[in-house]
Amino acid sequence: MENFALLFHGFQVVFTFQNIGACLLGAFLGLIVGAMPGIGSLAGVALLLPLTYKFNPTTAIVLLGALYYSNMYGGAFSAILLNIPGDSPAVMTALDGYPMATVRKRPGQALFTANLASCIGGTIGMIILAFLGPALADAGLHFGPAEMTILLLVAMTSIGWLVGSNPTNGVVLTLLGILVASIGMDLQSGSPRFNFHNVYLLGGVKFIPFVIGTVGFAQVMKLMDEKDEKAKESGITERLTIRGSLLSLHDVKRIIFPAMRSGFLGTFVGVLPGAGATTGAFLGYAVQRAFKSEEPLGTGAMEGIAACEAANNAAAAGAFAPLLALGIPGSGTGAVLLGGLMMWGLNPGPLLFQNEPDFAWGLIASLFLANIFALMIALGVIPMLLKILAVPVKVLIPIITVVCIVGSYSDTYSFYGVIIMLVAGVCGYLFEKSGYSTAPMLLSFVLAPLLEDNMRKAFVISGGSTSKVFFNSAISTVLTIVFCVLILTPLVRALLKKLGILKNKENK
Amino acid sequence: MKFDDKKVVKIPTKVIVPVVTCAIGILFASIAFGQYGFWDSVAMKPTKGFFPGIISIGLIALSVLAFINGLKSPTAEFRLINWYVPLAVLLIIAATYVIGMIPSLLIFVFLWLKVYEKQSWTTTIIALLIVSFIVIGCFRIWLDIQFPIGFIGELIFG
Repeated sequence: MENFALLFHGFQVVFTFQNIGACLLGAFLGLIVGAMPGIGSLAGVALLLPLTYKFNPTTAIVLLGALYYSNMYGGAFSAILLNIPGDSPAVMTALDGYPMATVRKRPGQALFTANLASCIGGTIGMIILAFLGPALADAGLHFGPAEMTILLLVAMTSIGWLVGSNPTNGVVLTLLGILVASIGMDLQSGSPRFNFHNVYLLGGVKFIPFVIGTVGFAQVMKLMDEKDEKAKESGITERLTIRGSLLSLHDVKRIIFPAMRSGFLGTFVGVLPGAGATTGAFLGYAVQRAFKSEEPLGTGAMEGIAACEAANNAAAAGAFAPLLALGIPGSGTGAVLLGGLMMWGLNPGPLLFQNEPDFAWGLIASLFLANIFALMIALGVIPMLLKILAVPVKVLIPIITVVCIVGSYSDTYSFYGVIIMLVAGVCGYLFEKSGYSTAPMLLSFVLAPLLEDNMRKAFVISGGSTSKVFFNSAISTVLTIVFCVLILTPLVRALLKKLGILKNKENK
Repeated sequence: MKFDDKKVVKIPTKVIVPVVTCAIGILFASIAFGQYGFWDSVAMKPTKGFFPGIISIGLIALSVLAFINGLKSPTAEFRLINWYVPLAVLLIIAATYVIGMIPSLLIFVFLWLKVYEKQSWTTTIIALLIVSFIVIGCFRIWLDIQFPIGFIGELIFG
C-alpha cells in the first residue's frame, strides 16, 4: 500500500501545468518520430535532448520519458499501413498488422488494436514497475562497490553480446566507449587525463553532441541510401477515420487476454539488460502461438497484433526498473535517458527512491500519464497517418542535419560540440556499415564513470586483491559466474561449431 | 565523363576498424601504463591509469579477434553520396564564420532541397518554415541560445 501512496504523491508532483505540457509534447513528438520510418526511438530521444535545457530535471525527464514511451506506439503505424516497421519491436506487429489492414480491410481497427494493446501492456508494466523499482532499489542497497562493479560489467557485456550479430564487435565498441568516456578529468585525483594537451578535451567528450552524432547524424548518412527509393505505396484503399477505427466489444474481448498476458511477460523481459522491447515483442508473439486465436496468426489476427504490441510497451516500462533502481539501462535509448538524468545532476541507483522521491515517483506517474496521452493522440492522428508516413526521406535529411548541428552547438556554445557530433556521426556510420552496433558504445560511455568509481573503490577496500573483489560475497560470486558465462558462451559455441559438435546436434 | 556519385565502392572497413581500435588501445595503454601508472603501492590504491589501462588491454585483445573475424568478408559497400552530409556540415561551419549560423543553415536547407533535390517551391518553403521554427523559435528565442553572427554580422551589428 505504501507504494500506491508514493505513486499518488508522484501524481501530485506531475500535475503541474509545465509537467503536463511536457508530457503531452513528449507523447506527441514521440509518436510522430516513431511513426516515421528510419528515425527510431534512439535517434528521436537523442535529437530532442537539447530541448530539455529549459526545464527543471523533473520536467525534462517527464518529456524524455514520454517521448521514449510513446515512440513504442508510433513504431506500429508504418508496420501496419506500409509493412515497414518504424522500429525493431514493430517487426512482429507487421506480421498480422499489415494483413489485417490490407487483406481483411480493417486498417483503422488494426491501428487501434495496436494502440489499445500498447496501453494495456504499458499500464501493466507501469504497475509492476511501481513495485519492482523500489524492491530492486532495496536489493541494490546491499550492493557494495565490488558487487556494483560486477553488476555493471554484466550489464555492459550482456548488451554487447546481445545487440548486433557479432558479440566480439559489440564488446570492442563497449570498450571503446569506456575509453572515450575516460578522456577529460580524472574525478578522483582531479587531474587531467588523455586530453592530449587540448583545452577542449579537458572537459571530456560532451555527452549530447556525442549521442546526437552517434545515432542522429549517423542515421542521416544512412538515410542518403534510401532517399531515392520510391516511397512504398500503401495497399489501403479505405479512408482512415476515428469512428471507423473504434473496436466492437467482441474485438476488445479478443485482445484483452493476449494483451494482459504479454503485458506481464514483456515487463519481466524489459527488466533484463539487453533484452528490451524487441525481445519482448518476439516472445509475446511466440507465446501467443501457444494460445487459440480466432483467425490464424500471420493472416491478420488481432490477437497477434495485441500480443506483440502489449509486450513491447510493457518491456519499455519494465526497462525503467533497473534504470532507476540500479542505474543500469537496458538499451541504447535507456542509456541516453540515463545520460539525460546524469546531465541534470541526478544519480539513478539504489538511493534515488530515498533521496529523490519526488523525481522517481514523478517519473513513474508521468509514464501513466504519457500512456493515456499517447493513446488519445494515436487515435486522433489516425486520419492523418498516411500523409505523415508519406513525408519523403529526402526532405527529412536536411531538417535532421540542421537539428544535429544546432543541438550539438547549443550544448557547448562553440563548434567543439559540432565537431564532436560530426566525428561521432562519421564513426557511427562507419561502425554500422562495418557490422558494429553502436548501442553498446553509448551504454558504456554513460556507465563508464560509475564503473570506474566502483572498481577503484573496490580495489582500495580489497587492498588490490582481485579475488576479494570478484568473490567478496555471495552476490558478487553469483554475478561473477554470470559474467563468466556471458563471456564464455559465444566462445564455447564457436568452438563447438568448429568441432562439428553443435552442428551435428542442430541437424538432429 | 559523367560523374556517378551513387557508384558503389568496396572498402575493407571490417579489417580497418579493428586495426584503428587496436591502435587506440595501444595509445591509451601506453599513456596509462607509461605516464599515469597502474597501482600506487604506497597509498595502496589504483592510479588514474588503472581503469583505462585494463580496458585498453581488453580492447587490444578483442580488436585482434575482430580483425580475424573481419578477414572472412572484409569489405563494406560505400557510396560517395553518403558523404555529402558531412561535407555540407563542414561547409556550414565555414559559412558560419562569414554570414553567421542561422543564415547558413537556412541557405543550406534551401540549396539542398531546391537545387540538389529539385523539390517543388511548396516543399522547400514548408521545410524552411519548419527549420526556422526549430532554429529561431525553439533554440534562439525559447532556449536563448546565442548563435554566432559571423564576420558580416559583426561588421553590421558591431
